[in-house]
Amino acid sequence: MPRTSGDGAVVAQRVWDLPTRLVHVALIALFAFSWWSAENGELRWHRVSGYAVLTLLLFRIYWGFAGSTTARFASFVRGPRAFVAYARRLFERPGERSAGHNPMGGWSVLAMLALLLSQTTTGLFAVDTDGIESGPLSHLVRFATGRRFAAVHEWSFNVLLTLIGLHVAFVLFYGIYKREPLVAAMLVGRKALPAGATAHLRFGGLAKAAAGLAVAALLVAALVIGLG
Amino acid sequence: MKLKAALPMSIAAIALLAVAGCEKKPPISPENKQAMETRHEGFEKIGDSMKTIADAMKAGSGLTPEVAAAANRINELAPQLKDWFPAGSGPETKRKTRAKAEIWQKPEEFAQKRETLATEAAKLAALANANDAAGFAAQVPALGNACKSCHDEFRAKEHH
Repeated sequence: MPRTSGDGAVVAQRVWDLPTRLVHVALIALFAFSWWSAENGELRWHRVSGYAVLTLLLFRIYWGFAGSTTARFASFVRGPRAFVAYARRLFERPGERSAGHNPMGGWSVLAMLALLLSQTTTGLFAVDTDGIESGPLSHLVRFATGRRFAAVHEWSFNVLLTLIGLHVAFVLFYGIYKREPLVAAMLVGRKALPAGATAHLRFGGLAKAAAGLAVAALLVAALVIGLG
Repeated sequence: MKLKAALPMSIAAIALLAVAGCEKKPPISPENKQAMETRHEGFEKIGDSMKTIADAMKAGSGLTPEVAAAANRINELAPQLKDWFPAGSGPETKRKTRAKAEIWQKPEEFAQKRETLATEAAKLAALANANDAAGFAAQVPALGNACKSCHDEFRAKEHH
């Protein structure tokens, strides 16, 4: 892989597509809202928020196989050797800029998606301490089992929160230490990279993304209404 | 808290927690051990029954014999709560419990919540036995609130 160093002529180039950016921003908002609604006993809203998160997750998984190059798991989930090699050069400045997720960040994305999936699936079966406010599929399990789902839901939230903290810390590190504005890139979709660094990228169409999102929403509706 | 004080305070708190973590569990009397077990099982039975009722309400399946039995079971258990919290069976045992020390610090308030539960449970069972489906459905939230209002005040969100 050609090394793309930060010096020399760089040009702002498209890296992240609109669906990936929208999903990212929406997940931040929904994560915050889910947290707030759980803490304040707004379980009705907490459930709705969870359905939205699950829909976005299903869409993101689909997009990870059929979406734009930078959104695909095959492009950003790298082996341990690439991970270690990248980690050793982490403190280099200016660092190597990736046209997409870097070999460490890819694993972070995968871990956060996995934890979000664990949050939403355990939430479907979770039962509260009073046996009243419960997930939409909790009638399929016994009270004690539902309470265990709730315990895992709580435990996995703490893991997720830790991962998010780590993610934010790394983004700040890139912004302050390495002077690489990752937040701006994720918001506007463009990164300053050497000419030609993104020539290999292909972008998925918006119609395809909208169709994927619609199917994901239907699946969640079927799960919640059909089985619920 | 001022930000300046936050760091030393949190270091002190972590140190305290570390010391508490090393502390050995004090011996527990057989009576208190038994009470904690009975309490745990009793509340699990109540939760189980409450879930049976809540699931039926959600599904709109109405007042089935199973739901009526669950209401009666809660009504049998609710008056037993007064024996489930003997003095000394709280967080001071260092055993896994979410029972807050406030239960024993505010006995009158706790007794009042306990009475509310027994009253609402009796009403629900009576409506079930009278086969009053509409009245039963209307009474379920009242019982749910009795559970919740006591849990909000006397049950810890995390284990001690």
